[in-house]
Amino acid sequence: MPKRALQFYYLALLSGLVLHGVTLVFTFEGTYDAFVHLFFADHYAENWFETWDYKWYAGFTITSYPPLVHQVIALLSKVVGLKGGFLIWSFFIILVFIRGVFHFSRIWVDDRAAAYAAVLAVFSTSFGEALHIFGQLPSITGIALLLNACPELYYWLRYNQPHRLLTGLSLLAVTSTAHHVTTIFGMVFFVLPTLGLAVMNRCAARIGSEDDIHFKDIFTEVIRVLPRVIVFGILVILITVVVIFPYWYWSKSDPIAQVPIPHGSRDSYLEVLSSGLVFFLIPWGMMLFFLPFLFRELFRKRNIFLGLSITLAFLLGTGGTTPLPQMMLGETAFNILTLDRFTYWATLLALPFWGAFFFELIEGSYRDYLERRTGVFFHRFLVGTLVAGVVISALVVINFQNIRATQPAKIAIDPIVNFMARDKHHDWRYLTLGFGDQMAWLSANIDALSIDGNYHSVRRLPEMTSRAVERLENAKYLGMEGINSLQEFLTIPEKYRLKFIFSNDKFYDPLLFFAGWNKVQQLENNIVVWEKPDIPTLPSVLPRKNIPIYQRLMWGLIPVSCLILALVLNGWFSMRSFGQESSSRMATVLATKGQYWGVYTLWLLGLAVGIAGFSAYKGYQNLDQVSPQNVIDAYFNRLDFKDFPKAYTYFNPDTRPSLDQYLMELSLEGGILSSYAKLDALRTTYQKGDHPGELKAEIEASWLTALHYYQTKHTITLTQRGLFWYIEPFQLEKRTPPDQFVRIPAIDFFSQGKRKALADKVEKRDILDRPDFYILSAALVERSGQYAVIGEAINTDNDPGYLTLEAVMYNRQGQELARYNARDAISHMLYPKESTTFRVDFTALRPPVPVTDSVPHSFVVFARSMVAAEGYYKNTGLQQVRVDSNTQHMQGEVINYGARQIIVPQLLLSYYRPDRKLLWVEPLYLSGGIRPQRQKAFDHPLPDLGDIRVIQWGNDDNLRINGVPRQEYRQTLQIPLDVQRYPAAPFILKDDLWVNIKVIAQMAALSDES
Amino acid sequence: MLIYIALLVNLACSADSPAPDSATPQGRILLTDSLFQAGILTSIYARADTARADKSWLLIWSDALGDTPVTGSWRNDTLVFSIPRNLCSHSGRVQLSLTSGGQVADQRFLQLTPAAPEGVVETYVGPKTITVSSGQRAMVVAIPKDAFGNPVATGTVVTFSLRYPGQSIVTRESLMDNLVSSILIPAEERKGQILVGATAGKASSVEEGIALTPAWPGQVSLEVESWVPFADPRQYVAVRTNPIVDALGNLVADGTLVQIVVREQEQVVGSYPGFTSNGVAQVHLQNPNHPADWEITAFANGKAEGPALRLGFVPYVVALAVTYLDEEKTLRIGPVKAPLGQLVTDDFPMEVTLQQQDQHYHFSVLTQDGFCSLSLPADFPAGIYRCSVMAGGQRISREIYIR
Repeated sequence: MPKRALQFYYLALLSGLVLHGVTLVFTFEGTYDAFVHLFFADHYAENWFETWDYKWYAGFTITSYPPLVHQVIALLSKVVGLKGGFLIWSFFIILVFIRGVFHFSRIWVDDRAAAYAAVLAVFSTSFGEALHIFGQLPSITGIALLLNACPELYYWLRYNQPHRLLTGLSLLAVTSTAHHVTTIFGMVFFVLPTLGLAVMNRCAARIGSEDDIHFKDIFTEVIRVLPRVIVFGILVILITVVVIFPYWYWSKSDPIAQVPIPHGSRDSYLEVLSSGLVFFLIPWGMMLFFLPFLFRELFRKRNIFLGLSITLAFLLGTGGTTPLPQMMLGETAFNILTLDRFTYWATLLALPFWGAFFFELIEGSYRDYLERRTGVFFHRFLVGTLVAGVVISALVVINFQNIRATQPAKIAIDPIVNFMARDKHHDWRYLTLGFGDQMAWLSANIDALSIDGNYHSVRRLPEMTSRAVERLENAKYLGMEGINSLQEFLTIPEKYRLKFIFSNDKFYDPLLFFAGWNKVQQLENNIVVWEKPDIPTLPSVLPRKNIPIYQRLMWGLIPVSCLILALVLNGWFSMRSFGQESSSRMATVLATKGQYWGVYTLWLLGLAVGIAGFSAYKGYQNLDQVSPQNVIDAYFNRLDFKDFPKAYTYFNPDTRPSLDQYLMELSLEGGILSSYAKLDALRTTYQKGDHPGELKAEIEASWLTALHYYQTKHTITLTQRGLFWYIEPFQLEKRTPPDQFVRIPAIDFFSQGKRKALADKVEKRDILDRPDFYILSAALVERSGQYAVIGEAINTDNDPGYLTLEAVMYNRQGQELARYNARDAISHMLYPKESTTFRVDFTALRPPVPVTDSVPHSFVVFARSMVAAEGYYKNTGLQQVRVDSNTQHMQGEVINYGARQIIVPQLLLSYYRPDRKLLWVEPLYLSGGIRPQRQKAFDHPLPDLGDIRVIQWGNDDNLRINGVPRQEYRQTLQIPLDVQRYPAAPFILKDDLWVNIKVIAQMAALSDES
Repeated sequence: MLIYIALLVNLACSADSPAPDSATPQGRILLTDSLFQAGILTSIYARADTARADKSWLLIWSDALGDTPVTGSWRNDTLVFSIPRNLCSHSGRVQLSLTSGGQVADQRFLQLTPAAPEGVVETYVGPKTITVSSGQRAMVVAIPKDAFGNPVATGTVVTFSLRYPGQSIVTRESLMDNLVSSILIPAEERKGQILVGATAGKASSVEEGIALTPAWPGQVSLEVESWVPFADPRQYVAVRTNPIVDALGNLVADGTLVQIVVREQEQVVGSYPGFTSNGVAQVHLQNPNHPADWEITAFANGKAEGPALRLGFVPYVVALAVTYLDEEKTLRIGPVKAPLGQLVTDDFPMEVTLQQQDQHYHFSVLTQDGFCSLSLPADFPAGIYRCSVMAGGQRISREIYIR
């Protein structure tokens, strides 16, 4: 091997370790997957042979993911901790990867080009992305080992060296234990082209010239080596099956049956530019500039197998941009596979030629061509530009998290760990919101169990597998599908023993509040703890799935044994051949003849000009104020991201108020849209304005909140000044109450909890009675094919009570069809003698056992109460409620006569017939907040209630309160509970429709109030 | 337990343990009585076949907690079994089995009776909250125990002392039965805390409490705390209830809901929840924006409305001028004056309607220093309009020509 090539190779190893090793320390915690792998590693560190993990999804089988990397980290963690183990294994794999690229390249190009390829591998954007953005250590481990296995197999077949088969197979075995998918697809994309090359080179050696090889020669050679290759194939299959047999057993016995999870790699990259950037442009990076050279080289005779492989991977890696990948893979595989891995493999397969290209450019015939045609300066300029591009693009990828945050800011988990450790909080499940992938790190450090998880393939709860929602934790990024899924879990938390939620995103606050969760405290790390009262603890014995003991032993022993065996074998043979250059290795000098250097140069320049031009054009197009639509989009986006000073700059400088005035008026607005919403879409129509150069824009904005979609309408006047458009300022709410100072009497409650500070015991004297409640009425109804239980309950006690209302629906045979709680169509906290209507929606039929008939026939309501110390804010009133005869909208005003600011007001609308029978209940959220001593108007279309069909009315038998039939309550309590008194003084909307309205107010934290 | 296991292992594994003798072992437990007090029985004697002296004689002590083997020792020709204190301190029925080589030679029964009550009487109360004069009753269960923790004997007298709110202490006795004694405590008429204690012999309980809470609120009447009798919708009427009591005169619990309803011409126009503090609920009602006669009532859920409070609101705006500035295409409203001759306060709402045949244009504006202006759009259709301005119960109307 040329000394210079060796120097380059060592330089590559060193620079790879320095560049990736140093930066990985700072980047790995921000990657998508690193913490997931640490979670798995923690599992092995705690119990090596245990194959069941209770911590996620009500339990899952750990054999669902190849274990090697996790087990190695677990072993290393005994010395350096989990994170240290992750980093040490990463450093090792970086070196293995560069070695693999070098040796893999040497079978395709000559040693100098291979050395270039090794150096370029360090700066590979696809490798950098996999390591520093995705954190896919098992996948990287797999590919690094596979790249090392390919040359072994090549030498085995090309030069009949049996020990190379042994070393190659040992590496493939380790690959399977690290990432089986790499082995399976690697056989097609990496190993087959390698063996094909061996066959071609055998032909060339036999015939004497590569150019004289014909198909017949190849066929003859294939027939000659076929028995060996078949044996090899069988061995690979056997090894792959045996080394991770428990995985195959799991996948067969517990197949993945869930709605496909959307992945950006299946998008059309032309339509979703962000996906195109992440899954195509970044991985290919600067390699896009050498594509003509690559494909020219690939479709030389000796490289044809690799050419087919890279072409196929390139095509599959384009995702949904063309229909071809879906046609090739079939719909099922297309929806399960993440297609970015094909691009990843294609870029790695192309590395040898990327190295060859640079070799030719820097010291080969391309250099000669350029110097001859364009002069030395241009050559040096081109080299400098490309080298700078390679380095800068690699640095950009490594620093991508700093450019565009892919994860929430780092969360200190100690306060959460401490919270769960005290007072037996780990007796319940918990859920995190807005943690990103850090939830996996929390799980690794906590004994408590989460109902969510970060490995969607093992989810088995129907509530999860029936929706295209990867995690509950990031529900807001998955639109209403994600929100609906989260809502289901928050509505029936007792089913999962879910008591605590750690929220790092106040977007979810309204949902949590109105679903009856109580904000307990804010931890030192600013994570807010929410708690659901009245949740039973986890049973002491949880269900689990056992696998045979021999599989546990296989899983615990084989992967690491394979690694040790591979290291010993490869080390042994490497030492034996150290310093001996394989004399029989055929020189694979790049064919410089037939190169189209001029075309490549034109492509280079054309692509550079094209990218620059396109960027400039898009940049101009996206200038905030260059068009009316741009300024509207920019304004709403700034509001969405709370960048109010920037939003202010879009107002007409001649007419806008001062920035201070604008910010003050904006701060007074409050409400769910300004504080807890995410802008989803804008639809704008334009009309001519009142003056020349003016436009009137009618804007319909769609906002996603944790509760539902909001549609708001805005009329904005736009003015053009020069090239740019501006928004004319508009009036925000402005009302001046009469009194500067207001006194409001208030009551407060406090529940001591444990009066004695005892850690592990609750004294019986500290357990409060469940407050007495009474269900006034209830009915199972059907409306537009949806089933619900509506009714009314009252707190008959003298303590404030927290009400959990559960309804169960049965078919005619008495089999349970569904069981849900009232979520936000209820007031969960009721003061003494306060009543609430409720609606329990059966959002899906989820019978616990298969049923013969799914037609609802009867129902039971279970009301459970607890003494509530959290006093809800109720200093609100309703006035001027009426129906607008033109619009058939119900209009009115909510007045906040108290002393605190309402952030999100909810109206619970209860419609009655004049005979006082409850017809329907619906929640209505006002989009704006209400400051103290002010009112807010509301306008709501009257629902069409003609299609409601009552299936069954509630009676004394099917209405149960704290486990006691309603009748017993009535007899004992002797309270005036005449249903005819409810509602006592409704607003009469029409002759046949009454409405009673209750205001439920989500409050700001005191510090948030203006 | 460890000794027991070791013994069993020893028995099972002992090299010289042959198959059980075919002959039934001969032995007899020597007991003069079958009734003992817990804790005093220290040893049990047995007469057994001395020919089997080399065999393992065991006394199996079977009580509610399980079977416990007791090894014996020979004293002359008598077997003596020392009974561990933890065995003989549990009251209840005990079966004694004298065994050897896995065969039972004799069986006897003992009855260990509890000793006299001592220490703390264990008490349970439920429910801890009952409503005055209702059918609800609380039960107090007391379990006096002896020095070994055994519930005292059936028939033992337990004395319960009760103190209802505002009453002197009364005592009630209950006999132990089925290991417990209990009394039912009915709800009386006065709210407060019922204090309960229990004693039996030298044993006493710690204090227990039962809350007697008020019954359903009675009728609610209202009084005005402060108000301004003008149709100024910025102002508030502060109303409060009388101290609300139940039918027995107890102040209702803090936080009890009282619904306050405003009617105008017999139609409900406002509904406000109020929550009691010391029996009184207070709410602020917003003044109407037009002259009106209000009828305000209050009630607790499930009860009839109390007597109505009537308030009349007169117009707040007494003078109002409207000018149309043709060149600026602007309506200028003001000065807007209130009953004292003062200008109305800032941000006072005004409703402006421009009507031309069937076309209505409606605008809302706010005053500033007693004036407000309404700039019409440049393309506002020209014509003669009837302009109506309404504010604070005052309405004026005039025709204007818009070019």
